[in-house]
Amino acid sequence: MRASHPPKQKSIPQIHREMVRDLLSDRKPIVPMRSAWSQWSLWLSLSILMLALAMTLMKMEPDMDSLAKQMPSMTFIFLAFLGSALAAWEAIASSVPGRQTSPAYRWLASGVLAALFLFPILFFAPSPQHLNALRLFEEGHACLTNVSLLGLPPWLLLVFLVSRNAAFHPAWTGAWTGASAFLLGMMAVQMHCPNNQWSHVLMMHLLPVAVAMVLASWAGLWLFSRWKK
Amino acid sequence: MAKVQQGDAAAYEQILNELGPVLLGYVRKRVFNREIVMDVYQEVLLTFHKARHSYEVGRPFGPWLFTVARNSMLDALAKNRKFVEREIAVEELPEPGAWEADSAAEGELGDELARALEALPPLNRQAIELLKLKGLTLEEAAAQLGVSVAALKVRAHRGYKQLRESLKGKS
Repeated sequence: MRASHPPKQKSIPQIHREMVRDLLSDRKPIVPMRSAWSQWSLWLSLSILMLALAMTLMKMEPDMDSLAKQMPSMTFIFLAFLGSALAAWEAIASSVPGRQTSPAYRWLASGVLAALFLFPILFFAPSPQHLNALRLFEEGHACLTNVSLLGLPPWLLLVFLVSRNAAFHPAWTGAWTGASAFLLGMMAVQMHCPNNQWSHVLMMHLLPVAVAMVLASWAGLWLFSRWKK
Repeated sequence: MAKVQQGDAAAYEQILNELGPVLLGYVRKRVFNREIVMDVYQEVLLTFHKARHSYEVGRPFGPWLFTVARNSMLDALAKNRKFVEREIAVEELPEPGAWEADSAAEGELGDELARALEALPPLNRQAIELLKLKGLTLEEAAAQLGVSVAALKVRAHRGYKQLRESLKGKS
């Protein structure tokens, strides 16, 4: 007669047991993250409010009459808003596990950004034949400052929201936070600035956005990886 | 997961025990170096713990879990790669000269220990230094490093394991 043995159970590795014990000792109620959609809509609505307030404080009234007559300017402003909204979603979605956007979405967002940089060259007024960088800066530094100042509050708000998520690619997330916030700043300046020469728009309106993307990407490495510590 | 986020111990234990085999299987399928499988698995569990706030209740759990698992596994592999490179660098140190061989055995072992400690990844080394050399309590050391007690224990545990490996056969 053969003795019957109980079915062999796979043993739980010792490391797993130790990990469970350690993690359980560290369990405490946590505040769940706000949903990605609510973060995005909150950021967009608060940023627009902040922008409107900042423009009023800085006495930057949009010249709507002349804007309405200039199709390229209107299209450019629309593209900037679209780019900002798409970039903000990419920033938020890339910091929420399981919410990553599709490659098609990333191509679309990158395409809108690329289109924004090409747009002035193709559709805005030509520049003087001999471009002088120093003169360009002297005439346009106010726009550069305004884009930076107007982009900063929305960026800080987005950083606050995103840093509470769990980004696995902090530099990537950071770059998109920079693009979304400073594109809003650029959009506000574009509504106010009467200079439609492509060199001015490219260097004084769009260049700060590109610089902000690089700096935000670098800052993101630190800001958006703190949750892992 | 909602209960886990609320700090429910039973729910957390249950989910960890249910996910354990799934995550370990996931890691084993992708990491061919058997020596580091358990290290990577620990990192995955630890990241699951730290990222649990980022799960949106009501959304599918699978995509969230496997994004966390995949990324933490890649991070852990990158860290291990650095560690392996560092180990090679230590092995390439010149052989001790004859006068060193004559020195006291305990002194030699002390040097080996210091060298092995130096070769640890910074996070693991800090944990051991604070707990064993400075004699801080777990809570004090965790506060000094700005990490949770659980995270500190894991770092120290890994450090001890790596030290054991480095000193094998030298005592």
